[in-house]
Amino acid sequence: MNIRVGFIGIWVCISLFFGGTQGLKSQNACVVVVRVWDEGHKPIPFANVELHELHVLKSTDSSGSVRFEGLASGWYHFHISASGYASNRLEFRQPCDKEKSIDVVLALTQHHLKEFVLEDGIFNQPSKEAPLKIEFATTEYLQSHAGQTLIQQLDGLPGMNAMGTGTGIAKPIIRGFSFNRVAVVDRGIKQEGQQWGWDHGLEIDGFAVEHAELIKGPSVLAYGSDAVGGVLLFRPPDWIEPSTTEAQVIQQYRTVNGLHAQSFGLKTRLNTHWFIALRHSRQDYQDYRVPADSFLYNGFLLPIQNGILKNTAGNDRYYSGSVGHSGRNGYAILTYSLVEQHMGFFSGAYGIPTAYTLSQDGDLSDIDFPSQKIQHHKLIYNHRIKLGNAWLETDLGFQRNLRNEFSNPEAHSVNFPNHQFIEHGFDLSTLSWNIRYSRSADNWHFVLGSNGQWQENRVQGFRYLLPNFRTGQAGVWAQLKRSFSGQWHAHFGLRGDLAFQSVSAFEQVVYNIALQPTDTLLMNTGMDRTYANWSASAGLTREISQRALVRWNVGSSYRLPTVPELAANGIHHGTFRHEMGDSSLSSERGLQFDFSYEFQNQTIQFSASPFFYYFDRYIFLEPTGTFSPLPEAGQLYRYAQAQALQTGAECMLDIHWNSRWNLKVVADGVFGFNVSNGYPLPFIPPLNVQTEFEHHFPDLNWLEHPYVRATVLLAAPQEAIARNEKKTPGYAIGGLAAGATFRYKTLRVRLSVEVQNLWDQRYFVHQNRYRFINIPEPGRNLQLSAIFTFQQPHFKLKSP
Amino acid sequence: MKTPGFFLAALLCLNFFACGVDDMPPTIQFPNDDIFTSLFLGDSIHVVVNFADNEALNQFKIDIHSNHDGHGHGKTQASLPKWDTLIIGSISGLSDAIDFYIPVPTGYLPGPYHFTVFCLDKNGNETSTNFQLIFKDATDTIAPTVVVQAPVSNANLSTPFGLTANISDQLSNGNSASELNRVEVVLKSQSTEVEFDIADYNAVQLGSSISLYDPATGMLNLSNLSIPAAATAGNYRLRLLVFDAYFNLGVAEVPVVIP
Repeated sequence: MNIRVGFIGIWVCISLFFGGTQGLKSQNACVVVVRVWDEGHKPIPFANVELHELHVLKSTDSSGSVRFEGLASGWYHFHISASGYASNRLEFRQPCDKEKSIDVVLALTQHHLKEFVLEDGIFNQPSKEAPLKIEFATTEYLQSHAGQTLIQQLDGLPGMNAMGTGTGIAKPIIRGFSFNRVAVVDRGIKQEGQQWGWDHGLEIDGFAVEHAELIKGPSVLAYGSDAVGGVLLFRPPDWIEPSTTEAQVIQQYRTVNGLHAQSFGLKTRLNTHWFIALRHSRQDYQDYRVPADSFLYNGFLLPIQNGILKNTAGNDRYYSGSVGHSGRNGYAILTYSLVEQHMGFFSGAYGIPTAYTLSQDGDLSDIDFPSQKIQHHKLIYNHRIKLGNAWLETDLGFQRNLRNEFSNPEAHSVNFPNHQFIEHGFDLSTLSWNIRYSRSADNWHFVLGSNGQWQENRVQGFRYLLPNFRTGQAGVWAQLKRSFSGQWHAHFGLRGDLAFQSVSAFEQVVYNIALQPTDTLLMNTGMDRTYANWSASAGLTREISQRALVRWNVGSSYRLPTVPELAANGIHHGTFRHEMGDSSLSSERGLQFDFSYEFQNQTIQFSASPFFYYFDRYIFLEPTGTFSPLPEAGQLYRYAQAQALQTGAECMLDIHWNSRWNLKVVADGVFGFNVSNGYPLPFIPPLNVQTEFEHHFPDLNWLEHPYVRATVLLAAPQEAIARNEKKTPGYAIGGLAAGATFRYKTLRVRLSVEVQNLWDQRYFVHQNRYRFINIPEPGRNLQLSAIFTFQQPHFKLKSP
Repeated sequence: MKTPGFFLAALLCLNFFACGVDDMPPTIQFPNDDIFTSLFLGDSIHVVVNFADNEALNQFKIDIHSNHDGHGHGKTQASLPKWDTLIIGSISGLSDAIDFYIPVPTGYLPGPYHFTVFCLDKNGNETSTNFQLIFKDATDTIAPTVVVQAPVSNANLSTPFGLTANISDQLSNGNSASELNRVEVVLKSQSTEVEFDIADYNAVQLGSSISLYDPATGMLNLSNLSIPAAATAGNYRLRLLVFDAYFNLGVAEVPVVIP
């Protein structure tokens, strides 16, 4: 009986989650045949053709053809790619009840990394028609660019910078915006993990990311309040061909912190409909090395023994599983992921350093106090369903972020006996949704969407920083794209939002040495606030020719003050200061202008993207010129609002002289100023230029894409500093990399080696946290990486 | 053509704004810093500090806290409480000075303390200067005498190993003293000068077991000590650091070999 109830329950869940994707059998079904040719009208075999809306991936046969059967009437688009050819995108309307043939011509290219079709992730429109410039990091890019973290891997994209703490934590900076001005979206759901904190990294498995998109510029319209500066989008992993299983094992090693990382991935497509993906990744790293023998704490020069930063070791564990169903009318994917991170903080950078915490104990892997433990649960449901000629896309997500920061209660601090060694504890639950209804016709594309989230945060710990709070936000938006004569594309969008914040008052109990309560301190008063905001955008894209295009975009944006900005009151060790919120802050509003020019031919890709943003009521932390009454807290910083300007540009030049040699130069610079007093805004990365020089060797039967690469990063000194910010000298660092993919039957082995900070340069990254105490970036690092991928069609039993 | 002109104008405008900012921290000067040379609990610190800034001074802060464990907090559990004090005051104008006495109370743990002066200007630019203070207690200014009995000179060391030492101490008045505040064992490579912390014991631990430290005989018996995995074969010096109840430091060391 129980078994039967269990089966019924499972069936109900499956029907609920994956219902509607299959469609009705009585509906008309039709067939599409895609034929892929080269420019000489020769068929291209083994080209990948993906029917985007249904996640159906197939390869062309020896005649360059591939057949898709059982499609319902509607609008679809294909992604077509083949090695050595520029990818293509094909949009079509299937009227049905008959077989339709489509011919696609792929042009030869010398650009090696274009196996991925460039398309924006929300509107499913070609990226070249989008009003804002989008940068893409393909699987190839991610696998060939090493980084201490996923964010540092993406650091080389134009307009993108990383803000790091040691080797295990990094946050994205887009055009100088960071923290709550940048949205990170994983599988359609905005990542929520206390992103206001400097030492709060991203709880995402870098090995599970196959494609990343960087949308530069105001994206409030589709992603909500936090996307003022831009969006970093991680797409779900690619589906594989039906009745196929793919297994992947990744091994990685880094010398600078003795990191050993392993990742095990399994994808299987049971048939045309069902897809399962599982992944487990783990990394263990030791205390890391820096080219320094001392650091500065509160005016004291303290030693770094043996050039190793004690207690910077850590370990990360990632678990994820997805099950997806694709049918004639759409698809649904249910994904659960769990991230567990445990990492130490160098004691000089978090709390008060002692002789004990600075001297080596002979064990480079142990994690002592101060440290942090993070557990991030995430359940995401993505659903796409065809409604006549329109598509309804739904993303639902639930996240729970548990973050505990541990340290020894200090002599001065207010004892908080219930919390023992938890200095700050945060338990943040977030429920999110995105719904989009999109409809296309020959020259227009319309999207009506709604998204929002509900959050609850509970705090604990012997030191106070934030109160308990609840927030909610919901918005409705619409965007219309109209194309004129195939060369002009105009975009108009409008969004309206309602939000509330309910912040609890917090009284901290003061205990005496005998742990008897003696007093209470009111750390913040309670507040209930509501907001109503709107934003709008208009953009224009002009395809000047097949090779060149320009984009203009003007948008108004807004950002709600976050709860830390309203109610923080305590020492934030991530910044070495007493931070105090201001409950009278109102929504930040911005007017943002973007422009970009892009040119591409067979040998050159060039883009230049200047931007100019003006903010009214820009929220930032400002030093008050007074000391905090708390010991070891330094100066009191208070959140304030002012008019601000942020402007800059990115340029990219990619020259492929021939199929062997490639030079890529990426430059970006940002300037941000407080208009009311002329001071620069804080945490702005300096002007930097990254140059990559790459040589590709010829492929062999068993060897693909062998390459060697030299890189040089030049960063200017950062002299434009906010009040009481430190200037940073310029630097030049170099790197070398080499790699290739070995193929044996269906096994692919990608080996790569990369040396970072080649000449062991002592340098400081302006926006990194350990710079405050004069600790330079990690020293020379050798990274070895091996990726084993094995793909096998399922065995079929012969019928008798 | 209009767009580049617009951005050029914006950049010039920003450059204009950037010219007027004050990023110059104030300065701190001690006209007489020999006040820190010899201080006893119960004395007063005569603080004379001159401050200056290019625009306007705003606040100063004096922070005195223990440095008994390298920076004052953490593992040290002493028999006497550690003293700390925090003084915040206003200063103004382009230059200002403070001149006052800070009385150092008795009944606190003598030994190393940090003395830091911070200064802020009106714009939030910050600077600081610090000194190390050693507070002595007139009751006891004599360091303990430490004699390591085992391991013997040039002994081969292997994990686990023990350390036995005899400790004798006396107060300033000649009476014998036996209470200890802290014991540390350190292994230092003779070739690379790299130091490894082997063990440390605070006053509570030392007072909890006679087999560990017997105040009547002055015998210290440390057992089950481990050689760190990172210590490779070679010649080392095994150092024993003993802090008495008034934080006077006695040191003894013996050459050892890790085979």
